[in-house]
Amino acid sequence: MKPYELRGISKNFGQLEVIAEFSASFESSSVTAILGPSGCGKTTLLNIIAGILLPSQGSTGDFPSASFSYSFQEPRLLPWLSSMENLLFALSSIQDKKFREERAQRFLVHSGLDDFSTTKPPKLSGGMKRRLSLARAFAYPSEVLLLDEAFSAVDLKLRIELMDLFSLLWREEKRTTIIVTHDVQDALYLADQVLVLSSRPARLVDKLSVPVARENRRYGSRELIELEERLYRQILS
Amino acid sequence: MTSFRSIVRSLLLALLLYPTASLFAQQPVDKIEIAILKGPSGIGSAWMMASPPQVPGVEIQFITASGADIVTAKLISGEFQGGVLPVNVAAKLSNAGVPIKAIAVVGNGMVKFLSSDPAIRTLADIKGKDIPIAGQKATPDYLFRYLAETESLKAGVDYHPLYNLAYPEMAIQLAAGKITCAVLPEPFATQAMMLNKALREPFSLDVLWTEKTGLPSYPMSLFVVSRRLAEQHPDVVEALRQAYDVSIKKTLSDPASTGALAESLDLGMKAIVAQAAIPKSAYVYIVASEARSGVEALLKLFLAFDPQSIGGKLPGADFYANNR
Amino acid sequence: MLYRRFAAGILGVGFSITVWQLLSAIIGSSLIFPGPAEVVGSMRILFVASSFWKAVIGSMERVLLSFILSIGIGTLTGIASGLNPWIRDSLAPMITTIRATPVLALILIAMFWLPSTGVPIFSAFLMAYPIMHTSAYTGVVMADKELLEMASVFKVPSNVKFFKLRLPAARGHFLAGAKNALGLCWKVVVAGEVLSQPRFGLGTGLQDARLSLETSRVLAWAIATVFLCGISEFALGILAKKESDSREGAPN
Repeated sequence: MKPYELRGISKNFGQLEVIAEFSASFESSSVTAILGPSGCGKTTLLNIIAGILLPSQGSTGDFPSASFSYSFQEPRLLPWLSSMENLLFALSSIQDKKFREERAQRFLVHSGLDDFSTTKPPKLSGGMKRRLSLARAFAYPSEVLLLDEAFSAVDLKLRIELMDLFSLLWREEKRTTIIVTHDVQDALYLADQVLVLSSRPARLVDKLSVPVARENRRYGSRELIELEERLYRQILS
Repeated sequence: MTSFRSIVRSLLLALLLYPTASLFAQQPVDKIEIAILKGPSGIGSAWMMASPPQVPGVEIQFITASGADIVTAKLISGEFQGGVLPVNVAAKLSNAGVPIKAIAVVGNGMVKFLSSDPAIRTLADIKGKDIPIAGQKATPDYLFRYLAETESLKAGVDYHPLYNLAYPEMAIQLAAGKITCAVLPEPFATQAMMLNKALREPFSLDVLWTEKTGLPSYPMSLFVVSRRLAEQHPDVVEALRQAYDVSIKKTLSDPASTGALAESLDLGMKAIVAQAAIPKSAYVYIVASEARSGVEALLKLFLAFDPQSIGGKLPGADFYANNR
Repeated sequence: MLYRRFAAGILGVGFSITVWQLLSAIIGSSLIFPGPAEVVGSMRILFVASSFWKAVIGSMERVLLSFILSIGIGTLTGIASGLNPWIRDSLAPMITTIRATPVLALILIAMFWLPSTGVPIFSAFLMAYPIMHTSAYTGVVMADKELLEMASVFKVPSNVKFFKLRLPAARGHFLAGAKNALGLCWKVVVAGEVLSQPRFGLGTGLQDARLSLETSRVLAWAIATVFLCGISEFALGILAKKESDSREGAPN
């Protein structure tokens, strides 16, 4: 399959230039991490890819015709629906009822939430809500998967659990995935390709590939220390 | 969610059906509704209410109304076919084209000047004072101002009329001693005097009126019927005429029983108050044709102070029903 | 701590009654401002009369009817306006006009066309309707932007979006509006009754007492009205909570 391309994307909100001249290519079935300091425009970029925002200039290639799953920075769950119902809500564009239910059930189980299938978000812990949000993104059979800081703002143990969940779920369907994060170690743990953005206005300052196969990676291991240092340098400059 | 909405919707339907049905159920054929005002003008008709005249083929019903606005509104809408109105209101409606006919004057001079201030002995003594007047732009207002002008006292210059209080509130303030004088119609005047023994009537507005105009009194309330009633059911009108006349005579001759009857009919006054107010309330029954000069004398006051208040002119001759 | 709330409430009421007693003593006239003891006496006489209870039922019927009408129609037009800008813009002038009309003017005009029982109902409905319309409209329109974004990314079809997102989201606004509307219906129904004097009504009783110069009875009727309004708002609150516990778990 052809890779997805972004060419010359820039975005202003009035006078404010948020993204300046961003181009990148995303291999299908690959995982790309977009790394950058907070507030640099990563979410905006993701929203442009998802079609929620239009770029001020540039082309989004084949993205507009793709179907998306999005796990947002906040869980964005409907508080009046149960966990299962929340998944089904996202799946409601799918005609086949059995398929919907089966899929929702499967990902609920995968993310360890099937005991809470009838529980509503206000009664779920923060970590469970994130898991549910992730499960929802996976349950929806899209071509492209977008994750915005999906692993931030949680403690290390939970973070690793979530990332392992992601790896597990990704192995099943291997969708083109774009992960936005500000954490270097997360990026190196999960992605095949890391794109580094400058602070606002965002432009691409570095691009690197991670040579170690994902199943062989260990979080925070020293193998990738060179890449780590390189990325840290860029971020902190 | 659907179940709650559907409960609400069916409740809505049920509740809509019940009172809406009764709202519209009110117009049976040949039912004639006559408005009786709560208060002194109503008392004169108490006996008529108690035994409504029987006319074959029609059902005559007397409905108590709390104020002239309601009677006005329903005369206009046609819900009432007759009622008692202040003279000026009746004139205004007639001039505005509402088809009503005056049958008789049923109440004369009921406006009183009350005071607990010993310094006020004649009308001239109001000079320089604040005078609360109940009934702005109505008979009490213009009557008083007219009489004051005959003593060369101009409102706002030589004395200060105050219009901020409505009838009950003015009576209460008088009774409680918060104000020391006021121009007030019955039954509020009597009610106030019963509550505050220091109140008296230093001079009679009736007497002054007679001195200035030569007329025995001024009319307060007019019994009117719709033109349609007069034309289509002259028998009903005649029956009402007679019943009202009898009722008033009985009221004057037996205040005690009338008072009790009035209270039982829910005419807005306790028996004691009604009984005390009757001798002071000048109940009369003067047929329209005879009452015309008195009516016009009063209306001329309105024309002098505020012509638009009665529609700019005196009502024409056909306003007054011909009696037999 | 329910105990503390109860005790504090009683204290507050006791304090108000003391202030009342003081004020009436200062004013010194039971015609103008009767004290609590006198009013309680009037209330006792009033509450045993069957005409009082008939008046209570009469007014409650009118309040219920106008309230349900305003909810029913207001919700419909509000939701429709939330979904369709054409509907919203064509209804807007009428809603603004109604909202700006003084209650008294409405009642006086209604008296020309409606029988005495209908005047309070119609006036209360018209006054409460813009509130419900606006609540429903705001609720539909203001559904959480983020949730709507999420729904659009997952390409959720519009009918599902409406019934599972916008409508439940509107509940909070709807309930707040309903509480408001109920209080207003009570006020306007009683005010309408004072003027149009239907046979059995709290306003009728109020006016009656006023014309008889019985201030203490006026206050008794007024207090009864306040009480009934409070009870019905409480009942509404309970109804709302029950419905919310059974269906959704939406945080309010």
